[in-house]
Amino acid sequence: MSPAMAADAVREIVIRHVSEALLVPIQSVTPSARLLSDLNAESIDIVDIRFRIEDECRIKINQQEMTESLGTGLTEAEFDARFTVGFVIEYVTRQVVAERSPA
Amino acid sequence: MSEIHPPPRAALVTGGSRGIGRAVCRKLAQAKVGVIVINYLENHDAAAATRQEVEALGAVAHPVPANLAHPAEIDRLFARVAEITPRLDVFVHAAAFGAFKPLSDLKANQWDLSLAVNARSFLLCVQRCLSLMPQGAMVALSSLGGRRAVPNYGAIGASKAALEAMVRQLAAELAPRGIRVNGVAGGLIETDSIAKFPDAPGLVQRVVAATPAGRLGTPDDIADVVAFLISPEARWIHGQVLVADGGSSLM
Repeated sequence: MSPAMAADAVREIVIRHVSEALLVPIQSVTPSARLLSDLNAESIDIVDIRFRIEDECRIKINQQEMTESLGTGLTEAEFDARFTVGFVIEYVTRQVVAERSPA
Repeated sequence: MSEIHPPPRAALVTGGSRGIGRAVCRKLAQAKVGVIVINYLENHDAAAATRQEVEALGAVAHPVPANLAHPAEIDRLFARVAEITPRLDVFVHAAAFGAFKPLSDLKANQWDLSLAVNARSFLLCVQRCLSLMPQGAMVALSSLGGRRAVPNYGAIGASKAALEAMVRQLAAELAPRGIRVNGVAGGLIETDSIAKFPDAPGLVQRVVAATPAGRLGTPDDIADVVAFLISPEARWIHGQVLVADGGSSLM
């Protein structure tokens, strides 16, 4: 799967699972939507979304590594601003491409 | 603890890498269980540490990661268990996860996840154990929150109540096959999970003050009860959830 194809597939999967887990309209799950302050996700919701994506994409996501990739030493506001649906799509796409690439 | 005679040959412990599950793995090894499959979610370091402790006690440990929220992963877990051992004698369900918040604010997905990991996975694991367990013992770890109101424990409490109902039902269904199913309900236990409660220090203080034995429970306190329930001395105990809480539920 090419990176572009993976990105398209992952985008659909992430948006669908965020919408279904948080019970928010799919139209509101845009790449710029902040998971915490725009979509009201709580920490257990992030785990739930991660589990759903892992199950469908057959990958494992290291949540600590994922959040640390946003940057270290962030204030809560900075973390919230960077932790968007678009970030999750990009992060999961990288994992999927890495997983599917021949070693 | 004393050895179990005859020692069970193989055991599966879900949530076995940390907390009560790890203590159960240690007790099983001390009881001369030969092969212990340690299921865990994703903390490989914790699983490796448990494996080391178990193997230092003379058992062979097999850490197997699987997310019990997903039935397909439970299938993969049992495919691996079947590769490791042709027969299971003991199954202990210690895996637990869930939302620590008031029920009045709980979202549907938070309910679903709490029930899936704590209760549904027990059922699915028991069903898959049957082809590997001609006879044996199963123990589910419950908690007082399954029968009492504990602040911020509504979702997990409901999952534990479901677990206890399944213990009774499964005990009746499986006793004719020579399989005993029981549970242990602890009070607040000294594990990492305590930190997930809002105002954890205050909660600990209140629980200790309200516990006649004057302290929190430890993982070993619960693991010793599990070890008893799987022993031949508990042969006439079917479908019971033993409370081990330092007397806190008496008050």
